[in-house]
Amino acid sequence: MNIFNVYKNVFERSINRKFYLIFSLGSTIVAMLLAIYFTSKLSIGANIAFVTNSKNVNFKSSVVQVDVLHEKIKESELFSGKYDAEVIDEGRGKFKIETFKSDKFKKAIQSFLIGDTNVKFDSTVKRGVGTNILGFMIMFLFIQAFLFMSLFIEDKQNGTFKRIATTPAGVIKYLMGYSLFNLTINFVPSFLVLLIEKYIFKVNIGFSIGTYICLLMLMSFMATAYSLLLCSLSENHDNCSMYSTTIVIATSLLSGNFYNINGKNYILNNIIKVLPQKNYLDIAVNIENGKAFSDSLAKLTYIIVFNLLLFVIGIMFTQRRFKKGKY
Amino acid sequence: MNFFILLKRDLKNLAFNPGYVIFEIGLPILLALILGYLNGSSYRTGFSPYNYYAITIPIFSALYASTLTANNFMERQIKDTNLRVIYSPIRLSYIYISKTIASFLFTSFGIIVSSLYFKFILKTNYGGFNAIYAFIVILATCFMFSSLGAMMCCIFKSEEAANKVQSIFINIFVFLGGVYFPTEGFGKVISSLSWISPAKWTFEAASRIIYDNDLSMMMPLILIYMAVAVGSLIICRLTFKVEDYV
Repeated sequence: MNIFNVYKNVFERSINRKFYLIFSLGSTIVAMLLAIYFTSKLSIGANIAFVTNSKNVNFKSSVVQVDVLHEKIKESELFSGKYDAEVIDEGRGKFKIETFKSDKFKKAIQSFLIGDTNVKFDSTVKRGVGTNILGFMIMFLFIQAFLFMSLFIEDKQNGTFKRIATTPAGVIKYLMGYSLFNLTINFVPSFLVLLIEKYIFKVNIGFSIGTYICLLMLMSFMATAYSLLLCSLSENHDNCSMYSTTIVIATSLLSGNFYNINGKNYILNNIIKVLPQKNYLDIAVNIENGKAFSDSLAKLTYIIVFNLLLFVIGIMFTQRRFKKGKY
Repeated sequence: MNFFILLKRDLKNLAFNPGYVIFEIGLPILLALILGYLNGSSYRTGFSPYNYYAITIPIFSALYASTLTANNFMERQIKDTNLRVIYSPIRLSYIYISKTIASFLFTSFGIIVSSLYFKFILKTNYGGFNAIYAFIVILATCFMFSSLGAMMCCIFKSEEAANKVQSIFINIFVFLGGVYFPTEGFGKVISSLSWISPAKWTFEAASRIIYDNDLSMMMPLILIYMAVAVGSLIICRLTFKVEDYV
């Protein structure tokens, strides 16, 4: 029995649980479709409520969306982010600006009101479409990778693992087969989603298809290595899925998958630098800015080495436990 | 009386599991700290970035109550115990009602602990006394999702399937509801899309209560949430079959 037999076996076993497969894949695909659609519709800039008594107010700008109102807005509308600022027209060219945002932001609005229509906002969205799409996908893909890899924990719980591991296939081939299965199930649906978005919904997805193939391969590899390690360490499915959710959400947010990070904490910034997701998004940004491949080489090597390490640790751990007769 | 014995057992199952405790108390606090840190420089001085997350993170916990119910209901070891309970002389409905209430109580405890942390350690603004009403809405959300979790389990007959389906939906809701960052400011399409998420409704109600002293959304929302909760418990009754356990 070689790796591909295990692969086929795992594949067929999950295909047999149609309901399970359809739902998990279906919901991830829906989530990704939504996320990409969402990203492509992101409007960059600021929303301002302009409160005035006069009727001839006309603002034209590509970066600022101005709603002209005649009544003051509620404080909760500022809080919930519906409006970034409220500008009250006090007549004779005087304005009062109410906002929860930073002073820098307030200054930008002031210069906008004076007539600078191309004012630069320190907006949360500074990156291109491609990086944003990958940022959204990375979280969903990591969650999905764990969902499918957790079949391995089930195997351990119901004894299937023991039976396969004692055949000539052994632990290593078994885990390799599983990882290969996980790679496919991570890569193929997410790639299909991108194709659907590009050719059916005609959404601008940023990078070319070729670039996406490489980047998604890398992402699937990261997700697989991470989930293999976690599932090797754990014997209990539910606990592990709780830990996984915690880890995935925290690390994805820290690596700035939704927006660029602008914090200034020295210790946290150094922790963030170590995260593979952060390095991954940096590579995407580099490609987006048209930088040479050599600029990303160090980060790429780091990601591959880091994840290979996770992979090897996961396999060794399972093998040691197996030899000690834990299963 | 029998019911309380069951409830006590279910609560103990939750409370003595380190995974759940970390998830309910550790993760909310960690998330608020991370998100607050990430957005630190985009708010004006005097307005804590934690103010926003002190409201959205409890909503996040409330939504995840459903995965907790699912775990506490149909996890492999617990499923066997359920079988024994089924054949003891108690009402069948006690099983899923007790699971729902246990996960509601446990999550509420987590929400209250993390909110007290936000209030007294991070010094966030919850408004005045009205904050109590905001938290009543959040707890109602929590109750609805606890019973939805039980319903999913009864429909899918297994914890794994139920959780896989739920976790993706909850993630979408959490995201659209603006838990990680405000989704209102991203244009008309997204802000109208975000209204499919209950997290959004709760957030809107809570922020109106805290910032505008406007209680108008509170009662309708609580009624809707309770109706959904009762509805899903009725579905549990219709779909919960003893045969699935044997």
